[in-house]
Amino acid sequence: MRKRFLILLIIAIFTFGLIVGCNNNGTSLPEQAEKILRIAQGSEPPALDPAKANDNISLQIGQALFEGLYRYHNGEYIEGMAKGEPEISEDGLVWIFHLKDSKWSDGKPVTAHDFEYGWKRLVDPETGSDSAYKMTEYVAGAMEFYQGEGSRDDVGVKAINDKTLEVRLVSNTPYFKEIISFGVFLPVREDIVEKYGDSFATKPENMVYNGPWVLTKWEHDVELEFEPNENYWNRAAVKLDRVVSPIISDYTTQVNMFETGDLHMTPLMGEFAVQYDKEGKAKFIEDGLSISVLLNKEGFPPFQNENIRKAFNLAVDRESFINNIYGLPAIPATNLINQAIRGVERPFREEFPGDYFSVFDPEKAKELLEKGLEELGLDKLPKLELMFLDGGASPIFAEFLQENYRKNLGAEVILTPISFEKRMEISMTKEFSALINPTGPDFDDPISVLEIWVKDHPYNEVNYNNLAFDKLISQAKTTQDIKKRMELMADAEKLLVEDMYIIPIMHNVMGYAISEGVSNLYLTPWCPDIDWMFGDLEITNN
Amino acid sequence: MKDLTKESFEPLKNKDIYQDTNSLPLFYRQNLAKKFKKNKLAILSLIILSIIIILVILGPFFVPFNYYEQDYQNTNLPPGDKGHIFGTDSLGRDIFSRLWIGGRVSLFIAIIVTLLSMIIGIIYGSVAGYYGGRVDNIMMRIVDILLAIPGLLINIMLLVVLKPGITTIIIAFGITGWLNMARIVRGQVLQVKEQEYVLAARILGADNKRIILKHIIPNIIGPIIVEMTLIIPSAIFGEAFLSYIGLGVRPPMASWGTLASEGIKAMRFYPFQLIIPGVVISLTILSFNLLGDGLRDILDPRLER
Amino acid sequence: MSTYLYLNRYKGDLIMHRYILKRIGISLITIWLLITITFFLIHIIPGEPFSNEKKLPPQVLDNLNKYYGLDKPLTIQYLRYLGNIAKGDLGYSLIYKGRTVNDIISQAFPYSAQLGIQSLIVGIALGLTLGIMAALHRNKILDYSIMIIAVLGISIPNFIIGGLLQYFLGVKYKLFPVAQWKGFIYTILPTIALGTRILATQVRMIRTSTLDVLSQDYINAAKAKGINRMGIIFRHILPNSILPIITTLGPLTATILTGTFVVENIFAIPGLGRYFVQGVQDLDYPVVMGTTLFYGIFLVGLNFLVDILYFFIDPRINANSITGDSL
Repeated sequence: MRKRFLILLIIAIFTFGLIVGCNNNGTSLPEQAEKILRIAQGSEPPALDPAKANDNISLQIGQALFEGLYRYHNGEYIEGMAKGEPEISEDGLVWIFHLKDSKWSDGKPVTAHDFEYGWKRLVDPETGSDSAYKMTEYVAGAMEFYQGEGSRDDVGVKAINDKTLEVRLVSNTPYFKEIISFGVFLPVREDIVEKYGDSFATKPENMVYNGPWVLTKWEHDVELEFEPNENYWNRAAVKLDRVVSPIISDYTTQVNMFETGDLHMTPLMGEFAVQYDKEGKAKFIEDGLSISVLLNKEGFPPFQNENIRKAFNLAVDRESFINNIYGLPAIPATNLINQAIRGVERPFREEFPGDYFSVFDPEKAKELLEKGLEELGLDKLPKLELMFLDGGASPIFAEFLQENYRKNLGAEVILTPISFEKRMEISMTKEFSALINPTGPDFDDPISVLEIWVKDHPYNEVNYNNLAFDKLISQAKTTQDIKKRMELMADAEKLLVEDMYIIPIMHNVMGYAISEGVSNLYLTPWCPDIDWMFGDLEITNN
Repeated sequence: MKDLTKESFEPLKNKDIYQDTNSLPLFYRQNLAKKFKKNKLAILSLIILSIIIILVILGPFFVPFNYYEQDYQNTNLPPGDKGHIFGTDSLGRDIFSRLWIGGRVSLFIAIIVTLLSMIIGIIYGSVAGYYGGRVDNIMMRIVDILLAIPGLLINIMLLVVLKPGITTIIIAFGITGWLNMARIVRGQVLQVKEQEYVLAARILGADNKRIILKHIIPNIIGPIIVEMTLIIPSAIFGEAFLSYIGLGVRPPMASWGTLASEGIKAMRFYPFQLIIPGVVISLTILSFNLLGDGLRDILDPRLER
Repeated sequence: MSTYLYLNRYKGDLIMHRYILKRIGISLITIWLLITITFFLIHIIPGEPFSNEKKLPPQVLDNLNKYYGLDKPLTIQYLRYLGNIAKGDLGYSLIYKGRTVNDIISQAFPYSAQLGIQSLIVGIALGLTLGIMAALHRNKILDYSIMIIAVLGISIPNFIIGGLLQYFLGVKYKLFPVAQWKGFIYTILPTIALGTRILATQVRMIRTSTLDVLSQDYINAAKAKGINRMGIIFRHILPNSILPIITTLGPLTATILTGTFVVENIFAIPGLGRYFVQGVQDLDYPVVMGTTLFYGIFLVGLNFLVDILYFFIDPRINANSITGDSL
């Protein structure tokens, strides 16, 4: 009796195994007639709600699902929901946008009210958006509302009628069009937000779309799937039939999947970039991203001394890192504004080369350190904690810096990897000593890099405080003459670099590879980062 | 005939009369050595372990490179190139010296964790087993409950809360490592304390502490050693696992775990960067396991796992 | 005669009831202890993670407040937390906005469970077969080679096995998909990576237990009666292997669990292990706590079932043995 029970048990276990094993066999292969693009995302988008998106992936997907007044595509700012150029008042303070006739995915028209609601929601303190500052800086009344002092009605965004949006600005901002092409200035439907409350935009069925694509599947941490939005005003520009975006956090796995044909594009880093380049399969694009090290004089008092800060700058062997370790042909930086940003007519960096110091000078660094220590009356530097965002090339760069400072300055550096969440927290608390800071501009103008370093800006993480700098920035913000503006900003940059609270390390270059037959797929220096929305694909039979 | 009074059975007042018996009889020890010599795998493991330990201690002195110095002109050199016996890593650091320095960290963690587990486990287990009854019941219930909590999850939680580093890893492993040891020791003590020589010692006036330390523990040393050879590889394993999920030691320090997880990333282009630490880790764990098997066969043929 | 039997059975029932009650008691205390440990571990972090000074988005702070009652004293917070867990509510993720930990677990756990069960089945089935084969060919080449595989299996960390499998069988020879989890073929490499260690521990154990059986007198008797080898395997060896397998089920599940943390990361499987590791790296405390509790309760429950099962199969059970977790 007992034996039979046991044998039954064994049989049961095996049968169960077979069932478990087989029920997954049903996945059918995709039909070849469809144009399906496959590109990976490095992580799950944390928030597709336009007001809450503040990371690359959410913003990138936001550009597919929604459309603001203008969008960045293939190197220029093109029309989105806006019809033609805005009407700007004489003093530059009032901007009037006219909207195209277009519909949401559920058939309702896109109106100026949707923009008014969406923008006000962005700066509503109840929303708690991390990106609110992108609007509070520029739009009249937005800062007051955000800080709880003003009212919603006083925010300078108003729908004059269904097709006309009026925006009043704090000051004359000639580059306002570029600012609002950033992925948080989107229309949002009030009825949908109210209907779903907290779960708005957490599922494909809990949102409506006015962008070129609709989200059809969002399997958390597995895959996102997009199909063309039939109601999109420029439906003809959307060539693909479907886009599948598996979420692959491990970068090597992405390359592996690219090689086996499971992905149409992969980023390339390190050794992969070198090898792909040798075979002529790598593409490189100037990235908006720049790597710098922030020095906080409050967290590490010796940084109050200018010579010590400068010593930490000159002790970094940038070229060795780029040439022998990094793998990508990044540009060693002696300035803060990225080569991807436009100046008067040509790239800003071509017009203002900005070689503010020699790339690497260990002897001078040692000298400056000794001088600085003497000025402070110190024998030796205390231990310095260097924080860096975990993942990608940051850890290896952190180890590189640690050794550079040990070898060239005799400084003891402790490395602390931090999470993205912790990084956001540091923005608020400003509790750190030194921090590796990869950042990029939000839009194509040097002001986007420089403006955060004025006194009391929420993202001024080193508490940089230089009246001359602040003055140059406020002048640059209101000057209409573009040449004059660029000159003012070049001067401001020079001040910022000379004070050396921010050590420029390098301006990044992205490496990537794309499968043959894929066209109109770009990596962009800023949002949307991966511009696949109007891509196309030749169908090959394999 | 003289009457036997109650006083006749009092323990001796003069403790000096009482002499320690040696823990293990001589013939028994000789027998063990003979048995061990017959177990070729155990001998081989012991030899391999000795070589690894010697290299871990002395290895870094054999080469003119240290484990943290970066040489940007010579990154990712293959083994044997330019005097780098095991090549260099992506920052141009000598893998040979990193391997043995990393071994120091991994083995240090493993040995300290083992010692901690041993000390706590022996004290706890022998107290429970020796006093028996209610004390034993309560103490062992506590162990049962702690054993039922998944140890590794608690380890990870601790590492998330405290700052990662050698000390934290040791604390985390130490907290859960002693439980099995305590159970084994307790079981053995329960058996041994009924033996005649314990009674004899008691009659001769030895107090509880002395009986536990001098009579019971030496006689249960076999299972303890076997359990130790199991804790060491699991600690090495655990350290490697933690390094892989990003909770290992901090650079420029290295451990076998961090070397192997760095190796995984470089595997595609420089497989030696994975194979070298991988082989050494596996060889070490393998040897400890085989040694443990061998010792178990020799010391306690009844113990079955 | 019949009265005696009845009494005896009654006594047996009584023992069983007491045994089960005792086990339930221990399981409940364990779960309570686990909850308490996780709660206080999170709260000893100075100033983190839910301190009021930190400027969290109001919605997140609201959710945290609702869940923990952060403005209340610690004891109230603790009781509230216990209450929430009793209701099965594990709170909100800090990273994935608007998602609860329950959501994440219910979505991610099935993947981990499938991976775990598959590895368990493959590991045990192969372990059983190889273990018996090794024992039947004791001290022959087959025995040695099987044992070498077994010892290697427990000596190589599974992230190395996983990485090697992915590179050689996935990338280099393109025999299996490199990553993801979209059908049976995708599950093969992760299952091997995870199953190897199970197989290795099983082989060693089954071999010992089989040798034990083979040395018994009734085997000789069976041989003498002319029962062939297959008959002996099916009638005597297999049934005797069930007991040791069930005994190790608890520790094995713990091994699988930690294995999934690694394997899911390598093969981009959206299971709970990957969320856990991600949560550890992002300091998403509610996810880390929630997952720890979930897995803890799962394991305690499983151990409870194993104990009960054991009681039915082997009434000689030593009431002091409880299967525990081994690292």
